[in-house]
Amino acid sequence: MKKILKFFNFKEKIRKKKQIKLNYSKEHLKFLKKNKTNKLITHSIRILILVAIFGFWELFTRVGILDPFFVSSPSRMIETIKSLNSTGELFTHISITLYETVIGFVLATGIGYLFAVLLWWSEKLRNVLDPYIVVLNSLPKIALGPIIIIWVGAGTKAIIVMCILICVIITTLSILGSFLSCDKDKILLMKSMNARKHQIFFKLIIPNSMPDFISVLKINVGMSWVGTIMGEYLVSKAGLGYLIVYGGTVFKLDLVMTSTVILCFLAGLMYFIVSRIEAHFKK
Amino acid sequence: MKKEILKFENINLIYHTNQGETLALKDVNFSVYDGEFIAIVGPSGCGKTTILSLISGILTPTSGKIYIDGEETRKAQKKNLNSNIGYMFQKDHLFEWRNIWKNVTLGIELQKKKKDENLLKTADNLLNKYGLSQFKNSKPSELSGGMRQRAALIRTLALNPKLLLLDEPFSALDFQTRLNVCDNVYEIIKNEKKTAILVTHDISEAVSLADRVIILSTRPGTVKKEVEIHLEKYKTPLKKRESKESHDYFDEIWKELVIYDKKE
Ligand SMILES: Nc1ncnc2c1ncn2[C@@H]1O[C@H](COP(=O)(O)OP(=O)(O)OP(=O)(O)O)[C@@H](O)[C@H]1O
Ligand SMILES: [Mg+2]
Repeated sequence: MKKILKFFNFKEKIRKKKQIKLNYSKEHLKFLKKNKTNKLITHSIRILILVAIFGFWELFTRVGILDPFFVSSPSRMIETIKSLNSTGELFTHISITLYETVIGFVLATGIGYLFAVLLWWSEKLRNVLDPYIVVLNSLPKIALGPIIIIWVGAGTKAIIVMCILICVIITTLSILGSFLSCDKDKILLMKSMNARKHQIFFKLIIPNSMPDFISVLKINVGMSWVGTIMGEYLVSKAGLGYLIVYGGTVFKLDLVMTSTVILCFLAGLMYFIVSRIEAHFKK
Repeated sequence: MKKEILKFENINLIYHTNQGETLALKDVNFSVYDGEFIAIVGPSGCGKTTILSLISGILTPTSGKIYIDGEETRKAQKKNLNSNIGYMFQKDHLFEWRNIWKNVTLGIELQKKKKDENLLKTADNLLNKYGLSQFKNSKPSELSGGMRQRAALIRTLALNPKLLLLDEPFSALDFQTRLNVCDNVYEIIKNEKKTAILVTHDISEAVSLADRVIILSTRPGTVKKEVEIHLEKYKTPLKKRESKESHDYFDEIWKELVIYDKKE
């Protein structure tokens, strides 16, 4: 826990801010204050929108403008969460989906990255494999569902594989693109200083591609959720995707809505973590 | 007679691509002597960068011989060759993720000479001498264009090369900065007693910096004429630029380039 706090660097930041403030002119302090107010307003409006959506949702279902059977309602969702929680199901479903997504995300990013490194290293390999990658990239991965199930079984493994398939090619393509877009003169500069290929790679290509890597991470957060939920639609007996499918087939819209909202929350959280990592690197 | 540092002997260079072959250089002959500042001018695409690539060993000639320090480069170990030569590009190509000190010592790091106290000291001295010492820990983005170019020059000098290759190092700067940086770079190169070859489009720049200007023809590039510049009495490039004699040199070089354009 301490480590996490340290990572987010809250204390340090506040201390620094205070220190810096002392040196600012009056005008600049005014400007900062205005900036802060603007930020506050933006944040408040954001929260207001959220409250409004849920508030009207609740209101409209109560007065009968909307039928809660079709759209559910916030209070019903809270009930659903409570009942799921009392049996411990809620935690199980969330943790299963989260587990699949995180594993899928990490493996897909890792494998995709390694593959990009290989392709950067060998131009020949790159040229040979080019058409295959293009075809794989445009193939709708969901079509591979039955094959995956037969090969690895209709369980968690299949879901993770689906998640990996969805993220991995685009990861490879983006990272490789970033590797290859490195300024030719910069490479020449390294060569003129006698750099070996691995030195060029580790001291130039990789740090140079860092910003693109972060955006790939951000994209993969979204994609890995798509992969996992799609996988769960196909095979699962547990998880948020399963809850949604199950809720849909038995017409329990409360369950569907609740799971969807939880999904939104989790995806947002994961995105937040990645953007913290980004901020950490940008310093 | 000063020592001959570089010699091109009947150099031809052909680029092979899928579109066909391009004869970039044809029968290029010239020499560079110790401590000289040479400028190479010529129309766009005439092979100026190609010449620098040949010197630095990034390219090998299709035919002909290049001697560095009297030794034929094809025979000489590539390793030895490169460490005698520093290459500076049009853009500073500082690595944004490294601070200035780490940028400047990049070459030392690449050649695994981090333990060489002398080299590190040289780099440190250069930074001090040319006003960048307080920016050692800054990221390149915090420096002005001129300072960045100076840092790039120091990165090149840090490996203590005998011969400096400058490929339009000022063309990315605005005019005002350019004049300043020109003065700076000239001062540094002369102070450190380096031999330098500068490629440029700008005739005034060539005249104000160089001891000798080599004029190339349109592609395939060959040496059209060499013009010795005698403006020693003016101390800085800026003063040389303002002098009356420099205009005569300008006209002389300009004519050569224009005649070629008309023939095309
Ligand atoms: N890698 C390459 N492959 C094929 N042709 C090339 C290559 N590099 C340069 N050339 C060709 O060789 C000729 C000389 O190129 P070079 O870059 O040396 O010209 P330059 O004098 O430096 O031009 P500029 O003033 O525009 O920088 C050009 O016509 C160019 O098209
Ligand atoms: Mg060029």
